Formats: sequence, structure tokens, C-alpha cells
Amino acid sequence: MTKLILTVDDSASMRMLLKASLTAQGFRIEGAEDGAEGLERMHEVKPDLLITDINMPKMDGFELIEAVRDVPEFRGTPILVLSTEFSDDKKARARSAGATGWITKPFDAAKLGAAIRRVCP
Amino acid sequence: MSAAGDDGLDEIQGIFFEECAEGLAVAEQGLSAMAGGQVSADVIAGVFRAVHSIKGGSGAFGHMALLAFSHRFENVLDEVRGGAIPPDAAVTGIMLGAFDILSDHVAAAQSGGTPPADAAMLEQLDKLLANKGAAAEPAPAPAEPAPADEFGFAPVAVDLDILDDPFGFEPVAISLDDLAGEPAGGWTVRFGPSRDAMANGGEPILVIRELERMGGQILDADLSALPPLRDLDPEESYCVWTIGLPATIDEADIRECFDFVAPDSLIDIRRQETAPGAAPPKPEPVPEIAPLPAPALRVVETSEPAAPEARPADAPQQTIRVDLSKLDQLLNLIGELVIQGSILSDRLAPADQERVELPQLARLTRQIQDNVMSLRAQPIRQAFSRVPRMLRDLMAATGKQVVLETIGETTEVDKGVLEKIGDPLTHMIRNAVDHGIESPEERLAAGKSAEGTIRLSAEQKGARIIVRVADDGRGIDRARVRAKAIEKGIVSPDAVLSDEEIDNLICAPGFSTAETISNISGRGVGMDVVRSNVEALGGRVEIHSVPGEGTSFTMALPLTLAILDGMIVRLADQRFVLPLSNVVETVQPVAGQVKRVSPGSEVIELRGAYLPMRRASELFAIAEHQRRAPEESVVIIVESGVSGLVGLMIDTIENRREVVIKSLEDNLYPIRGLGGATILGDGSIALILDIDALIVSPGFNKFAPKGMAA
Amino acid sequence: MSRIEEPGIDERKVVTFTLGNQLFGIDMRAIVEIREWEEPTPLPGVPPYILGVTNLRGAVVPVVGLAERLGWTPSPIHARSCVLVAHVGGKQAGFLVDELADIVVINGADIQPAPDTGVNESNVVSGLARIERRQLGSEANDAMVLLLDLDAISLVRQIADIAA
Repeated sequence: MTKLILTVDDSASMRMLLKASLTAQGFRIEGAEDGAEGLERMHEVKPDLLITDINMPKMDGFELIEAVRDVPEFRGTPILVLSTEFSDDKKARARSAGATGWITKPFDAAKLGAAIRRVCP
Repeated sequence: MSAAGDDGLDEIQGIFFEECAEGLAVAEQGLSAMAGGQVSADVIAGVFRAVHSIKGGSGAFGHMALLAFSHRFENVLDEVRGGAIPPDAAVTGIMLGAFDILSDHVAAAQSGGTPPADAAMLEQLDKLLANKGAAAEPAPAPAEPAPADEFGFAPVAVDLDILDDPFGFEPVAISLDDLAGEPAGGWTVRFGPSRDAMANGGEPILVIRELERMGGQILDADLSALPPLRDLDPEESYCVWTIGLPATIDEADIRECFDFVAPDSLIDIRRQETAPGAAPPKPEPVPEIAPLPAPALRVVETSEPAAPEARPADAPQQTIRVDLSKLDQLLNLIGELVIQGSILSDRLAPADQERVELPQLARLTRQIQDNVMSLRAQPIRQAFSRVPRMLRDLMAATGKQVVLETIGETTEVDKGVLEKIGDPLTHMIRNAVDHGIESPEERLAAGKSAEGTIRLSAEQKGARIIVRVADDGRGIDRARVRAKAIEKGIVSPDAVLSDEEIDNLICAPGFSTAETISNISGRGVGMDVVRSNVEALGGRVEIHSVPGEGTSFTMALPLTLAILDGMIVRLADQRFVLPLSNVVETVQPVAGQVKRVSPGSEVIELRGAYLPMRRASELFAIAEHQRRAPEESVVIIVESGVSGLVGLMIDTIENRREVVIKSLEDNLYPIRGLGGATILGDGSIALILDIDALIVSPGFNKFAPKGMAA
Repeated sequence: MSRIEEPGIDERKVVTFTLGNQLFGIDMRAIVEIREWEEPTPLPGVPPYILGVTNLRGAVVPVVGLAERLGWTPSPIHARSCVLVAHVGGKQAGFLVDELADIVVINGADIQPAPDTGVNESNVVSGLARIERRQLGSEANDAMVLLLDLDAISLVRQIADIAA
């Protein structure tokens, strides 16, 4: 079963890059460009995994994660944060918001794939 | 670092550079606002996010120098955002400098060129970071091996190291003191997921499976913590597994499996036996149930809502990103609708038109058209935002002092136009600094302030956008311009010229007043290029100058490139569109008004002057029998950037209307002399003439190898 | 033809038409539409085989004299002249043909490599096949179809000629 991943990032190039590298590894990818759209798309596509950026206009990554976790249906959906930030504060915040894991940009496609398989069988 | 591998990476990279350009524009605007004293959390957050995004993509695309620099710049911005570094004039100045270097980095990454020398700037940024270190906790600073030389970019290493790193707090992992590093015995891994390890989408079983894939075997499962069934929460975790792994596996690889394990889990990785004589292992089994991280978490959580960071600068309005080609398609479709509308109005008598409410339909169509065009419109700010940087460079190079005033930055222009006015604008600004603004001494001597002013303005006037660059410099030295034009053979020594005509000589091809080509105006490109670029867009350039008071260059541009205000003319049985922006006047020649001066050239006499004239019928190789005599024709006086006023003889003028431009290269290729084609109300195609290209073609014979209507 | 068939089904629909006495075929999948001949708007400065441009549902599309493009004598215009609008290398173009013949199904296995056909560019004909030709008022008889690879007659390739 192909896993469906929703990627939320305000940078179109980053979304395309994710799509290109993950599609090549056999994942199906949907995208959204900010937290608000991401939340909407969650309900629409019900992905197996959510990968989100933190710094985004409108709803940021933390808010998105909290909002997603508020939805009973998505309580168990793995959420990976993909961000250039790596401060412990931010990671702790993401964790408390409900993120499953944190990956620092720039990402390596193979490692990202491995990380995804780590949370999403 | 290659993430996507192969296909489409270039395209994605192209989008990344577009985003960089947008980001740089936002950053520059924000920093300029800050320099002007407008410091707000929103502005700072906007600049931060712009630099942050550039950094994010730069790493992904392997632009390490750009990554390194943007990373350091971002750190400073982060501290400014957090209030640890005050955004005072000195700091803002450094950040503007850093911005300039960031732009250079982006340009270098895009062109594949050498990254700019940024060591000095990095040092300044580091100094800012170090100074704030006194005020705030030195959290991110130590993460960075400090002063990096140009190639030892510390941040790169940092970013690579933290790749895929787990949640920051050393997740209770007990690192073996694996100093000897000999693969003595196998690994024993104890893994006790925290109670809530299954919250947040965590799934400990996946870790065990991954370890199994690496050759691991479950040696033991400790179920002693398992509560009685009635107390058991199936969403909690109670087991501690012991897993054996082959000695050949790297510790780092094992550790990586635990990347996403909840922070307060038990993770104990050790060699089964260490080589005798190796450093003694530290065998504390550390079943810490996250005493530290948890409270820390809570503190962060409760303190956060107030933190400005939690509310990233909201975009002023909601926006969506739409592929430009979709808008083009929409505009095309509306073009069709307009054309269908005109077909209907051609076919229906006025009374019938009223009866079916055609005028209302036409009005609605027009409204939709305006709306779609406004979708393609973007604030001219994007073009203007390049100017401050350029001025700083120019000031540094010339020693002149210039204050920039911008007016009407929010004026909206079609994206296509916007993309094409950058270069003309650059030249106009350079010209103003180079030739307009005087040196501070000269200005003071003339009773002016030492600082010159350049006023950059934009406004919409009817269907045109007026962009003006006005300086308060010395004005055009007409005697010199005239002398130069005579020297260059552009005008004859005895020509009688008005002031306006002399001013316009600046834009004559091959004219350049700079005695020595300055390093600024560079490349020897003169104002003639500005004029021809602007005219290629269907615009015009006007010059106004007052000696001693200043000069202004005004570009009048069309609102859009998709729709053209045209004059429909007829030649033989075919209709053509002449861009109205080229049309000066029309003349109905009387006998003798058109004179042949040589076998290949004719002139038309107009109020005592002779203008060169071309017969379109010859240009288009119309069959002899369909060619009309001048007295049965109309001559349209067109103005061309390259050869001034020229008469173009056609058969008749049909009407004037706006036409939707269809490019010929969509399905064929560009054809010299044609600016495209349009579809008229009856569904037929009319070719749009590119006057400049038509007029410069010497003799035009090359232009029409094929009989048209024959 | 240069296209890859769907696995398992090696049959293709081919639109056949005549230029002079010769029967030609173009893969149905390349065809956008077939329209009656209508005088296109002539263009200046183009090679003779580009007859002009026409309005295809709002797009400006070139009309190519296929016979001239292949180096044959131009097709005479008559009542049955028609224009095959097709995809050519990402663009669209109309091709003037003498007369439309039929739409036939050709099995890939029955396509033979093209011998020297006298067409000026050898790769334009991608293969040939024998088909049963239905003709009004007469019995079905065999005919040979030259299958054209439109991408090989891409107009873009001709830019060099024009610039020269």
C-alpha cells in the first residue's frame, strides 16, 4: 500500500523537492503551503504521515501540529517536522505540540526516506 | 546533498531562485524600513522569515556557501527578533551590508559563479552575536564553532551534523565510552519506551522492527511493569525489550533508529563485552523517566504564548500561489469571450443586441477581463526594491551622496511588464547618479545641499503606468550633448534643434555623454537601450530637464502585455494590427506628396519636412495588381525607437480597438517583423506588426521571400 | 511510429489520407482534430510549406502543406481538401492533405520498417503496413500505408533554414 504523505511548506521549491525525492521512493505526496491549508488538506486527504515546516505565514507549524492533534482522527498520525531550525527549545515545543519527530533541513533524500519509514511502516 | 536526484531538479531549483528573489525583495524592503526607523515585530519577523527560507532551500540544493552565510545572518536576525540584539542604526547598517552580501551569494549560487568574499561580514555578524551573548543565554552560539575562515564554514558542518538529529535533549541515551571503538562483542540494546511513547503518532514497535532488520534479535522482554488488565491502557507502553545486535553495526546507526522515540524513554546501548584494557565503560543503566526534559518542556510551553515568535508576522492578506500559466490561460479564454462578444455584436442589429442584453454581457466580460488582468498585476515595489542596493553601490563608487525617495510603490503592474522594466530602471538610475547628481562639493558650490535626491515614482494614468526617475542634479548640458551628437554624426552641425530635441538625443542610438565609460554605467550601454526596451513593451520615454535644477526620465508603459491598443489596418485582403503606441498621425497623401528619391526609397512630404516612407505592400510582397497608388492609400506616421518618424503606407484604416495578443511562438516560432497575432471578431487572424523590426530591416527584401496574397 | 504501445495491446488506430496517389497514415493519438480546408492567414518570411496560420479555438496554429514539407508537389486545393491538426513536439500544427481516407486499426507486428521511399527525409516515414482499403463502389483491396512520424517533421527543426 503506497503511503500518502502530506507536506506543508511555504516554499514551493521545497514542496517540489520533497515531492520529487519522496515520489521516487514510492510515496504519494500531497502538498499545502501553510498551516491553515495544511489543516484543511489533512481532512481532505487523510494522509498516513504529515511532514510540516515550522516557519510559515498564517498558521505556523506548531499551531498546525496542535490543531491536527486536536482532531481525534489524527491523534495517531505520525507528524514529522522538517525545519532549518534545530534549537532544543523549538524541538521541545514541537514535541509538546504533538510532533513525532524532527528532521533538520537540508534533508538527504535517503535519510528522509529512512526517517519516514521509522514512523510510518 | 542531492535530494531529488535528477529530473526536474533544475526546474525546482529555478523556482527556488524565484523564491530567493522574492525573499530578497521582502528582506530589503524590511531592512530599508528599519533603517528608516520603522521597526516593528512584523517587519523583523518578515525579514527573518525571508532569510530563513533562503537558507532552507540553499541547503537542499547544495549551495553551501549561501547556506553558510544565510545561516549566520539568520542567527543574528533571530536574536534581533527575540529582542536580544537591539535593531539600532548600527545593527541595521550591518544587516543591510549583510543583505547585500546575501544577494551576491544568491546571484553566485544562481549563476554558478564564485561566492562573494564574506569573511569580514561574517566577523561583524559574529560580533553582534557575541555581544548579545552577555545579555541573553548563549544557547545557539556554542553550537557554532566560531570564527570560520572562508572555506571552513562552520555552519555547514553544524547543519550536516544535526541532520536527522532527534529531539534535542540527549534522549536519556547512555553513550558508551566507546573510546577503543573495537568491535569486540555484539551490542546489547535495552529499550523501554516511555508510557506515552505511543502518543503523538509514535510507534515503538517500528524501532524494534528496524533493529531486527539490522540483524537484531529480541533477547528478553521485561513485562514487570505491566499493570493488571483493568488498569491497562492500550495506548500506553509498559515493556522493556532487550535486543542483541551484531558487533558489525555502527553505534550511530543503532542510535538513529531511536531518533523519533519519545524523549523520556529508556535507551541503553552497549557492547556486550569490551576489549580488555579499554577504557572502562560507564555502566549506569539509566532509566531516567525524563525528570529534566518534562519540566523544561512545560516552562517553554507556558512561557511561549506571550513570545512574539509564536505569532509569525501574518501576511497582510491571504494569498495563494497560482501558476502563472493558469492565469495566462484564463486571460486567453477571456480574450475568446471578448472576441465572441464582438462576433455577436457584428451579427446582431442594434435593436437585437439590446433585446438579448448584449451590452450587459459585454460589460460583465470587460469586468472579468479587468479582474483577471489585476490578478497578474503586482506592485511595482518589486522592481523598485532593487534600487536602494544599487544606489548604495553607486554612492560608494562615485563618492556622491544621494537620498532616494520612492512614491507609489504599491502601483500595480502586469507581471510581464514588471519583469521587463528592471533593466531600463537600472539604467535610468545609473544615468541619474552618473550624469545628473553632482559631487557634494559641486552641489555645495551651487548652493544646493550636499546630498542629491532621486525621486522614483510610479502612478497609473488611464491605461498606462507612468514610472519616473527624477533627480535634482545639474540638468542636461545641452551644449555638450549637441556637440557630442555632431561629433558622432547623429545630427548635422547646422541643424536647428529645440531644447527638447537636444534632450532626446541622449536616447539616440550610439550616443553616450560619458567622456569615459564609468565603471557604473558600465558595459557601454546607453539610454538608447532604455528607449528601445521601453518601446518594445509598447511604451515611451520622455525626458524633461532644467539646467541646474535636474532631469526627469519618464517611462509610460502599458498596463499589460497581453492586450494591445491597436489600429486595425487593411492591406490587400488582409488585416493587420499596428500598435497604437507607435502611431503618431495618419495622412491621406495627395498626388505628388510621396516622392521616390532612389529606386529603393521614398519620402513623404509633411509640413515642409521629408520623412522616409515604406509601402507595406512592398514589405509584404503583395501581388502587383493588388497594390494601390499613394493617392488611394493611407500613410501612417509611426515613431520607431531606431529610426525616428517613418511613414508606413497601407490601404485603409479600419478601426481602433484593443486586441488580445497571441504569440506566434506558442505553436510556431517568432517571426521577424511581427509582434504576434490576434483573433478578430469574425474569427479571422490579424498579424500584429512590430514596427521597430519592420523599419530597421534594410530594404525589407529579406522580410518577404514569399508571396502573400498571390 | 515512435510511440510506445500500451503493454499487451499492440494495435493502433491510424488515420489514413492521401497525398497524390500515395496513402499515408498518422497515429490517431497525435491527432487533435480534422477540419475542412480554410484559407489560412499568410505569414511573411516563412518557408513556402508554411501556408499560414489559422484560428484553432482561439489558438494561433500554423498550417503546413504536408506535401511540400515532404518535398512533393503542393496539394491542389479542392472540395475534399482537409487539415489534420496534430500534436507535434509539444506544439500544434495543421497539415493540409489531399483527401481523408479512413481510420484503420493496424497491428504493430504488421508494420515493416520503412524502405527508401523517396521522401526527402528518411526518418519521416517510420514504417509501412499493408491494409485492406475500403473504397466506395468497389471491393476491398489491399493498399500500402506509409506511416508518418510527425515528431520527425517537427517544424522547429526548420528554424535554421529560415534564419539562413
